[in-house]
Amino acid sequence: MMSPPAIFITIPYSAIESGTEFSEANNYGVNILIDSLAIKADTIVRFIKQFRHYFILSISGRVLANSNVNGLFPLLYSIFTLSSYRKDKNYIHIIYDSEDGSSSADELKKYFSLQGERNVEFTIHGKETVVEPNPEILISHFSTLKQSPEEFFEKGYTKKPQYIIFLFDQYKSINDNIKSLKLLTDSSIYLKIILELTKERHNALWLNYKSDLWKKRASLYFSFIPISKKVAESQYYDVLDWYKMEYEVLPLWYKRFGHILKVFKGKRSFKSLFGR
Amino acid sequence: MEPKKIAVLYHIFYEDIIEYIAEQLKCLNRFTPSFLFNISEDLPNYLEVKNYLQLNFPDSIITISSNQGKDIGGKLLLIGLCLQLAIEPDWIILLHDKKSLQALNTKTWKQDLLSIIDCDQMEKINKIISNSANCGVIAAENYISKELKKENHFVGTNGKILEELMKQYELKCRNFEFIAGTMFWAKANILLDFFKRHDPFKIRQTLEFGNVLDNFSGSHTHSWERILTWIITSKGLTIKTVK
Repeated sequence: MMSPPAIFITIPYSAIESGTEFSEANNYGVNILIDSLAIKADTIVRFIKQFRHYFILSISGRVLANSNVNGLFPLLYSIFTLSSYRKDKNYIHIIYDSEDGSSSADELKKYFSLQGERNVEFTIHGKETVVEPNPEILISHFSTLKQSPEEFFEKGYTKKPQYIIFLFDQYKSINDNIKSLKLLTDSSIYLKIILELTKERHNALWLNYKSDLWKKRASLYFSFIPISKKVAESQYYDVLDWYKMEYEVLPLWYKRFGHILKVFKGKRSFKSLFGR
Repeated sequence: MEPKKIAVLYHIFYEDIIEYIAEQLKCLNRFTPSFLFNISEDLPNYLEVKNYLQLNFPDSIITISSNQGKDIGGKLLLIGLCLQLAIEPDWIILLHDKKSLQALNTKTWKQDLLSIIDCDQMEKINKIISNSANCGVIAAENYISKELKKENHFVGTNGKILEELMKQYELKCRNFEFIAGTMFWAKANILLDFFKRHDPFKIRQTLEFGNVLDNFSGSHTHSWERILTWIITSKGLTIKTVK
């Protein structure tokens, strides 16, 4: 089975809603950037069903700074669960413009944690730089990459990211963005190397994760051995207690009379009364 | 008469049942079904399972979630998604891949519970749906349990939590029968109306994480197993059974 992709192309929700052309990203995953408060579950579901791409989730700092954002949390959680991209650590990226101000990132984090999502972490990125550095992810703006591919190469080489997300200045045509990215990476052997190394690293980590899940599953089955013994034991004693409390205490003549009655009712044979 | 719209909410936790699911669900195509699946993130082959489901149920909606509240948590998530997507079926079928490894009678238990989607039962279920306006739950015979009360208090391990929840959600039932195993047909408008008023995601947050059992002490997860039936029966609707 192929591992999920290691390179993600950003597509904002507003572009999905406006029906942007998107057809050439078979080797890429999609980074859905929630850039509006007025998101609809069916728009996302339609997009996911149409393209079947792996996707990860990002949220614009501007959306998180809105005072009504808490009402959006259940929908953000649903969108997160619609993604097939699950690993030992799942990142949701909060991407700020400089003027975004304070946000509800901590509340969102708490909301996900209360949903039992123990493997979700939130990372915060400024427009140009990572505010809270995350060693495992490289977020790159296409314009910066174009201006200075050496800087990208250096970051990619020293940071050894698990995956790379590309942001763009314009999202009018996603296909054009993908073409421009391909053109640039195909023309530079250094960029190609970084992308290939990232894919390899990502694949190795993915296989490790799968193997850990199988180990966890095996220990789950093992853990049921003592539990089922305990449950069976408790059921056994329940029956025994019931027998002692409800039957054993009855006088012998009453129990014998009961057996004779059974013979008359045809529920046991006369011979069986003398069997022991 | 147009076939009834149904939404099948199926929670998957185990890695080895997937090939049976398409077979199990095929008889439901006589209705107009929407399929929603939730896969536990603990499933080691979750991607294979998701791909299989996409192949066999191309229009289905598939989520992957934390193991919060076991199948009850998965079902609450899918109910929430139904509301977000404005899916409004006539009936909702709650299902999961029950194993209950701690139980002694797990195999027959699961087989019996799944009789509610058995092809042989579809005619009977269709009749109940068409003719019994007062029916709100259709379940497998012999799997109706009763939460016992003594001196106006529940006596089971989940008693205390149940009393709190009944009060909080203002549920008043004439009897306290529920479907053990939480696999049943539920009248959708009653269930969805309740969860429009009470956010299913918020309720999901109150459930326990991981493979919680109620053999030795109570849990919110097992209490909601009972409440899911009582939401419907508290409205005066009845439970019908199939063999």
